[in-house]
This record gives sequence, structure tokens and C-alpha cells, in this order.
Amino acid sequence: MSSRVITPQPRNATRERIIANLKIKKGAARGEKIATILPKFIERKGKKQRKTPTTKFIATKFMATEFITRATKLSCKFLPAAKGTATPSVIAKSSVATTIATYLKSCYEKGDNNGTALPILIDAEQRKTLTELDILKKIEPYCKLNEAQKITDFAATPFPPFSIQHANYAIAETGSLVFLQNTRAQAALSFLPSKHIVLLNEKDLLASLEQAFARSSTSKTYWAILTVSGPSRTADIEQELHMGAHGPKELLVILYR
Amino acid sequence: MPLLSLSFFSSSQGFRQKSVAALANPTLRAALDKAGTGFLNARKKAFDEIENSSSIKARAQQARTRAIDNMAELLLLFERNAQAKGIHVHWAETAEQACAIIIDLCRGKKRIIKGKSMVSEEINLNEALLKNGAEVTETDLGEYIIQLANETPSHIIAPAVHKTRAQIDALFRYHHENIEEAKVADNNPKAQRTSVLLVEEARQKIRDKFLQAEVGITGANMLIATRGAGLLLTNEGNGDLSAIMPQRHIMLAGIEKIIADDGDAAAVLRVLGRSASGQSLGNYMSLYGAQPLQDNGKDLHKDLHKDLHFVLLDNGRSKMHSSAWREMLRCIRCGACLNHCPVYTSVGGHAYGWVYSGPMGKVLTPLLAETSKQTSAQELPHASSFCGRCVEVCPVGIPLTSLMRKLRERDFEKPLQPRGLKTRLACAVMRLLFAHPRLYRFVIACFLRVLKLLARGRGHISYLPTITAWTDTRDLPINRSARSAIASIRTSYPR
Amino acid sequence: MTAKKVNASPKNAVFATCLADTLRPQVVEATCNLVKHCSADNLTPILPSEQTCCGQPLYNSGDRNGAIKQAMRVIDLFGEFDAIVVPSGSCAGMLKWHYPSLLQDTPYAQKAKIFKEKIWELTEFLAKFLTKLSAKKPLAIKSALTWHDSCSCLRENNSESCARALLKRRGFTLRESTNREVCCGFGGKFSIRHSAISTSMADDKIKSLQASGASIVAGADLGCLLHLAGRARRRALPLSFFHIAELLVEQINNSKSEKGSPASSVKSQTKTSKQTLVPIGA
Repeated sequence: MSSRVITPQPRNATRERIIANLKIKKGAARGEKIATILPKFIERKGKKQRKTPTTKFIATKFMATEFITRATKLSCKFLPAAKGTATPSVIAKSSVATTIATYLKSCYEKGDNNGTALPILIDAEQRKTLTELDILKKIEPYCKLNEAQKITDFAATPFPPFSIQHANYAIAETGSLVFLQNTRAQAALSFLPSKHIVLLNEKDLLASLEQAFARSSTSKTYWAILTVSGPSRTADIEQELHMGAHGPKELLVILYR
Repeated sequence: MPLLSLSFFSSSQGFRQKSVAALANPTLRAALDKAGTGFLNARKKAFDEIENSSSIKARAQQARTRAIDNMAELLLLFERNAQAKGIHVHWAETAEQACAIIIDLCRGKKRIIKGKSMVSEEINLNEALLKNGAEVTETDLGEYIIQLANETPSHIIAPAVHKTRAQIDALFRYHHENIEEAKVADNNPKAQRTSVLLVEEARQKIRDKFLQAEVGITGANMLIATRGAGLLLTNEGNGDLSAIMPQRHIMLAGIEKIIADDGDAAAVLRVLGRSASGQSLGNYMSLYGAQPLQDNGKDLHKDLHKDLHFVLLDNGRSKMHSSAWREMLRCIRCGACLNHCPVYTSVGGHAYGWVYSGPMGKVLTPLLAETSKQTSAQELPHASSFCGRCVEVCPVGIPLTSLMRKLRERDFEKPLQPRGLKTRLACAVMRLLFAHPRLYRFVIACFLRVLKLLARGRGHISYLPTITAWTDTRDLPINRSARSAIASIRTSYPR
Repeated sequence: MTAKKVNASPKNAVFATCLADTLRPQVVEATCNLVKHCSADNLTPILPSEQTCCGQPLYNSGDRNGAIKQAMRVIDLFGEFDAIVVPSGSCAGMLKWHYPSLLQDTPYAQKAKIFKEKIWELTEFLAKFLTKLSAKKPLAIKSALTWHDSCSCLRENNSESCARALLKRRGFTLRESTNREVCCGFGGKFSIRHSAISTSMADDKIKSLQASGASIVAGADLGCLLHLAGRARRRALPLSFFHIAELLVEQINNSKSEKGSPASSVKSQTKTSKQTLVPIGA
């Protein structure tokens, strides 16, 4: 770590004036010093985290249940749809493709795209993952696959109806799906479509926000971390809650093992 | 741009006049009543359902305190880490400087979209950009509504909370062209549209702007020093679309938004959403410039971040840091104090005259406005009954009432305006009477006799010359005996 | 401060508070009687005649130095007592919580800390020591009443449960109102400086109080009660306001007269005390 190259900062008069104001004057009361809170002034990757109270202790075997409960509260829908009041459950990896195909078939038959094939956006980098799960082949009869490469590609379809993405991991504490995005086009897949279908492997469930942050530090490069907790919502008009303010109107999650 | 930041204060009216006008506005009262308990119940529920809410709040307060105590070091660390990844960091001492930096970054680009940013309201960025010929679109639904209405936000979380659905409908009909006419015509064209339709219409209108935008400007909820990344929390997804869709992304944040590391950020996130709207996190939580630092400088993917710009705004904050009001820098802008403030819920946000309203505004506005030589904010710290509910709900334990009292003390030291003189005079009289108990007894005895005369046999009076501010709206119950308790009780202390 | 110590000590004092002293002497009188009733030897508490005010108006106007001087005076005057009973939440809060911070950099810092321990907000005191009376004694008020929580009782003294326990123990029927934790809008100087907002808050509060269904409102803070009673009277609403001390002492007086020993209670020289209970402002 010590070998990290630090680019020398150019002199900046404004910055120096601001920083000078912020320096604690001698003798003034002061709390914890930076040296104690950040030992080497560098990120402590994977090292012991300060103990922080979390909202709830979640044992590993209850992780999926907790995630489902939380996410359902946030208006996430799980596939396959549970019957009646039953809670959604984790499905087998082998039935993921069938589940998505069944869902898309119903959309197709309902005439979501006026009887023509449903345009589906996928992430080019995830094509391999989706193929491994046998999804692409199964949904082929009802869908037209598109890969968003550049952000400008969206100009032609301002309101793409569907996207399928695999989440990097998820947080049980908050019911959130986490995506590490490399490009802006990838990130747009979580926001522009009306229905966002997300695949999640049960082993990628994490208990807390801290664990999610720590996990993100283990990946080498990405542009942004996006955390999605339910469909886009607004309550700006008379405090009435509505889904689909700018982002997806529906968020569909398939949790498999 | 001379004195741009002052135009927010344009109205010459002070808080008192504005609050009286607000109380007399039935539409506003109806909107505020509707907003009423929604936020409160949601917040209560969110904290009730977790078992250890007090330790979670304590941890959040600790995270914010250590960020403020180490602000200089952490800001420099943030800058260094961000720059190592190819992110640009700009420093602005004043509102004018910040506007100038952003205008410079928008040079040659016309179409600008904005995520909700209260700091941009603070520096009056939209006006500055418009003056430079740019086309600015607010994308948060609330902000969009008030942009169409040419108003300022009345709540830091729900900017259009003062607007009723009927007003929004009228506004959309006026500004939007034939977009949902078909749907409207199907029903009664005159009928008020449901909010579903209004939300959908705004979604369609703004989507075009997202796709064509060249620059996106958002705020930041936190700046994580060890990562050199900006954290953004939104519900609509508009903040992220503003960040993702255009080529250039500018994140504008006050310097107090700094936080030491991921762990501290998580601690604050746990209370932020819950306090603001009762959500465990908030729909979209994103980190921009999040890529971890590499051990050697070689394989940095600098191109990933080449068009991400952080603009760090001081505008009076560093001065607060060394003042008696430093604790105010802990504020995470959750808006809980606004929702729980009986004064705010009576008069709404516009009466406060600036972007920050409610209890936090009563402390922040006079301090930040000081840099703009504004005096109309001086009344704000006096507009509190010190009921203390804001202190009770603040997730990071800011002693708002004490800070307001300290502002009153500061005002007392420099009586510039007539009102200050009046207060000084009243205090001088009280000091004199309290120092001389026998004189006090005499004055009280005379006062009670006068009251009894005025009451003319009743138990109350309806008009008292010197304090008409009381008797204009309330009767004053009096002491029928016209003798104070101490004067009348025989067994009083024999000294 | 233990029960034993209070009871054993004759040196109890009553801090009249400027509002009760001036505008509602019955409250002070009632407080003295209640404290007397609570003390083991039936000793009359002392009501120092040199007392004026706790200094809160100065403190909240920004006159810190004036408030410090007044705090010192109050400590000098009351410092010798073992328990000081205050029939007002906000004054008790001032003496108990604000004096120590106000005086922390003065020679009185230590005194303020000791002083703090001796302060009793009336409902707190009564909830702990008013135990002698059986609940069967006739009530001054037969119909249901609602309780107005003052902000200082809720958030400074945390004594809202005391008042409720006390009313219940004494046999009053309590009807809770909604929005109990919302301020009534008094706030001392605030009620005059921002009279429009203050009045609007009073109206909101009155609405909640009325919705409880009770027509009698009791409270432990005379400021709030004067403000609400004044507003209700101006709007000609059928609400009566009482300080809790007046209600409770009536019960003691009733029981005393049954026993036939009325002479022992503290009495003012005025005629009002002999009258039956009159609501504030009537």
C-alpha cells in the first residue's frame, strides 16, 4: 500500500483559505483525532471494521427470508408470483429460465407490446451469465434482445419496456439490490425500462450495509455502485405514493440458489 | 454575477409579515394539513420497528461528529483520493465562485438537467445558468413543479409540499403541450386529473430532457473521504438519471457533507432515510466515483471518471466551524425537524425566506446569510417557542434550541434594529426589577390593580394597551383578588 | 433526594413562579398546602418573599448576563432549602437543567449542580409524596378531564407519567387527547413576538383538546394554561382550564372540612380562596 503514487496537488488559494479556517485552533476542544479513526490515512481494505450497531442481527439461514420480507415491503415483486398470502421463496437455479420465460410469455400474451415480440434490454457483459442460466434461449420465442452498448443508444427508445440484469449482491437489512456498474449504459438499464427484472443468487445475500460496502472494495474496477430498493417512487403530489416516477414502475426479483 | 445569492431574499418582507400572510392563505393551510402527519407516522414506525434505535442514532452522531472534528484533513484526503482516480475537484468559497465554476464547466453546452440539490438553491444556480443562456430542467418531481411555478422550495425533502393537486394540474396544463390531451379528453377535460396521470405526464416530459442532456448537476448526500466518492440518495431515480445520461456529471456539495469512511457512511444512512421519510434506506443509493483505489498508480481506469466533477462549497461553513454553532455542521438535511416543528407546519417553508426552513433553517439561515450581509434572517431564531421537539427528533443530536438561543444572545449583544432595542429595554427593566424585590413587589401590586380596573368585574381582560399582541387574539385571564400570592399569604418567609 | 430526607426535613420551599404569583395566586396557595400535606410533620413550606422570577424571560431574550445574575440570586435565596417545589414545568426546567449550563463558567458552577438535585416539579413531587390521601375523598371535579402536557414536562423534566399517575390515583377520569406532544404555542416571549403563529398553534391545540371529549383541561404549566384559556375564552368555547394544584388541593380541603380541622391549612387573606373552584379567566 505504501507504494501508492500520490499526485502532487496544485496550489489552490481558495482551497487553502477554506482549509485554514477549518484547522482547529490550539487549545480548542476537539473530539477524536483523524489518526485514531483512520490509521494510515488510507482505506483499510478488508481490515477489522469499527463495531457498528445494525438494525437487526440476521443469521445466515434467515437471510433470504429477511430479504424477501424487506423487499416486499418496498413493493418489490418476486417471481414466480406466490399464490395468495404465501411468501415468495428461493427457487432452484435450474428453474430460473423457465420462471422468466413464463412471466414474459404472460406479458406477451397480454399484449404488452401489441402482440409483437417484447424488446428486452440486457447488459452485454452479462450475456455469458444469462446464457449459462439458459435464459436467453428460453425467452427467445416472445422477445427481441437488445444490448445497450452506449448511452446514446437509448435515444431511439426513450421508454424501453423490459430489462434483465443480474445483481452483484443484495443487502438483507434494507432489502436492496446492489449493482457494480462499469459503464453508464449498464447503469441506465436499472433506470430507463418500465419493468426491471433482476436475478439474484442466494449466496450473494449480505446482512448489512457495512458488509455491502466492504464487498464492493474487493472488486477491482467499476464506475459506480447502484443500490436499488424497490421501484422508483414519488410522493411529491399531496404525499400520495406512486411508483414509476422516473425509473421502473415494477421491480421483479428472482432469487435462486 | 454580483449578489446573485441575494435574490432569494428579494422580498423585502421579513419572517413576521410572511408568516402572517401564510396563516391567512387557506390553500397553503390545506396543503400543509394534508402533508401533516404522513411524515411523522412514517418516521415513528421506521424507528419503532428496530430494536436499538438509540444506539443507531448515537453511532450516526459519532460519525458526523468525527467528520466535523477532522474536516480539514478529511477534505484533503477526499480530494487526493478523488484526483487519483481522475475525478476533478473544485473549491468554491462563495456562492458566486461556485456558480462561476459550474458555468465554466457548462461552457458550450446548452441542455442541463438537475437532480434535487438544496445547495444549488442556496447559491441560486439556476438563475446564474439561465442568465448564461443554458436550458435548465429540474428533474425531481417536486423541484420540477416549483420550477414551472417559478417558486422556491418550501421543504428540503419535499420541495412542493405547499402545492395542492389542483394547483399542480393547472400548472401542467399551462406548461405542457398536448401531451396527455387524449387521456384528458376521454374523461371530462375540466376535471382535475389524478396524481397518477400527473406523475406519468411529468415522467414523459422529463424523459426527453434526460436523453438530450449534455450536463447533469446533482447534489451529494455525503462525500466519502477514504474513497473519494460522492453518495447520492434519491427515491425517484432522477438523481441517478441526471448522473448517468449526460456526458458530464457535476456533483455540488457543501464541505460539511464530508464523512470519514464507509462505516461512518453506513451509520448515517441508517438514520437518514428513516428520519426523512421512514424508509430503511431510500430507493436509490448510489456512489459515484466509487472505484476503489489501486495499490499502485498504474492500472487506474482514469477514463471512467474523466468527466466527473465535484464542486465543494464553503459559503460560510468554514466560518461556522470555528464558531459557537459548529454543531450545526453535523446536520444531514433529513428534514425531520421541519416535519415536527409546530411553527413550520403552521406557516410552511416560504415564510422563512430561504431554502433552509424550519428549525434547521432558523439556525443555518442567519449564519450562512451572514456571508451575504443579509439582515432579514435575524428574526428567524426568535420565531420559536422552544418546545424542543426538533432536538428530540434530530437523528444526529443537534441542540437546535440552544443554537437558536445563542443566536438570540449574539443579536442581543449588537442591537442594530428597533426590535433589538426594544428587547434590550425590556431586559433592562426586568434586570432592575429582579435586582430589587421590593420594587418588583410594588410594580406588581400596581400592575394588578390596573388589570382589575380594566377587567371591570370579569375574570379576564380583552384589551391591554402595552401588550396588544396578546390581547388582539386572546383574552388575558387576570387575578381577581388583585394581590399577588406572596403579598397575600400570611405565612410567608419571615425575612 | 430521598423520600425520607424530604419528610424529615422542615426546610421545604415553594418557588412561586412569577406568573402564578401574579396572575393565579390560588396555584401558589394550593402548592403550599399540598407540600405541607406531604411533609411528615405537616410543616408549612417556606415561600421566600424576596423571590421574583427564574430569569427565563431574560435567558430566552438573549440576555445571558442578566440571566446569569438572576440565576445566582435565585440560588442565593433558595440554596439553603432541601427541596424546592415548583408548580410549573418550564420554571422547574430552567432551575434544574438550564442553571448548571448557564453558570458553568462562574463561581456558582458547583452550587448550581447541588441546586439542581433539590428541584422538584410539582407533579413529580406529588406523584412521589402525595400518598396519604385515600382516593375515596370527594373530587373537586366530577366529570372527565383531559391533560395538557407542557413541552418542558415532556422533554425537559420527563414528568408526563407523574401527572397521569397522580390523577389516576386521586380518582379523576382522564380522557387523553391526540397530538399530546405538540406545543400549544405559548413559549413566553414567542406568544407576543409571533402572536399570529402562537394563536394558530393554540387553535390547533384546542381542537385536539376538544376532540378528547372532556370539557375540563388540567395542566401543570400556568403559561400554557393562561394562553389556551385566553384563546378559548376569546372564541367563547366551552372549555375550563385548571392548574393541577388547584384540583388536588380542593380534595384535601374537602377532606379536611370533613374532619373539621380547616384552620391548619395555609390561607391567603383574600376572599377568593374561600370561593369554590373558578376556572382560569372566568
